[in-house]
Amino acid sequence: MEPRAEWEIDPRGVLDILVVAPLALGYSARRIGAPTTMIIEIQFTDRPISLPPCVAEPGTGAVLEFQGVVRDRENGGKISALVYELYAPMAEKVMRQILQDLAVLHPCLYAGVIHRYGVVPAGEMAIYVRVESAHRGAGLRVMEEFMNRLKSDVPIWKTGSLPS
Amino acid sequence: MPGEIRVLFFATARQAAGWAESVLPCDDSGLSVADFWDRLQTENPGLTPLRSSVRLARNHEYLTGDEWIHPGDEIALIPPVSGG
Repeated sequence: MEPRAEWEIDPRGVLDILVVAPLALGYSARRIGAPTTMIIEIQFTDRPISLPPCVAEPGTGAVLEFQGVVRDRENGGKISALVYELYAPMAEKVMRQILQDLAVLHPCLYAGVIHRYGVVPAGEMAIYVRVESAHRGAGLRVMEEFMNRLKSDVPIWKTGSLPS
Repeated sequence: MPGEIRVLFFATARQAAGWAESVLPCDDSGLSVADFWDRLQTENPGLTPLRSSVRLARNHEYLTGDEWIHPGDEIALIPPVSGG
């Protein structure tokens, strides 16, 4: 994404006080489209997800980690595994775009995603997400919103389950 | 390939069509989204119930209804997703 500077009027509050005139009107001006240096790593695997070593980016004050684990129940019955299918090139592209979009509003230093496909046994991770930010607010928002958008837009599917 | 559209079927779309991939001939004038669906349903009647819930992606990006499909494109049928 090319660095660019645009200006929008944000009536919600002050993020960067840059000009006085808009403040007199009860608005603040903030710079949007600021270049993001967030590092993004996305991986897919059909093997059990092994957690990467915890080496945070410089400047990190908060590390958020999310593990999406296959539950042993579906539709009231016990299962032994879920089966995942994905459209890998588009899944990566959409995930990357989601994270880049979120980073404009909530700058973070790093976001990493590992999604497993194929047969994922109950109790094992289907997805692992790690977000690093200077302060917890941005990281928490990115984590929550990324998972929400993944579940609505990223081309990955649970296509079946195996009985217990 | 020039002169054809590569079509990928995922999840319930693959189950309804009976295959994961096919090709549709397409001349240089291309196809509207509606025309694409009409041709797809003619060849795969099992997809008819899914038309309202399946999104289309063109070359890894979601298609809007007024975009055009060209020869050489890769079109994917994206049923409601359920990752994570």
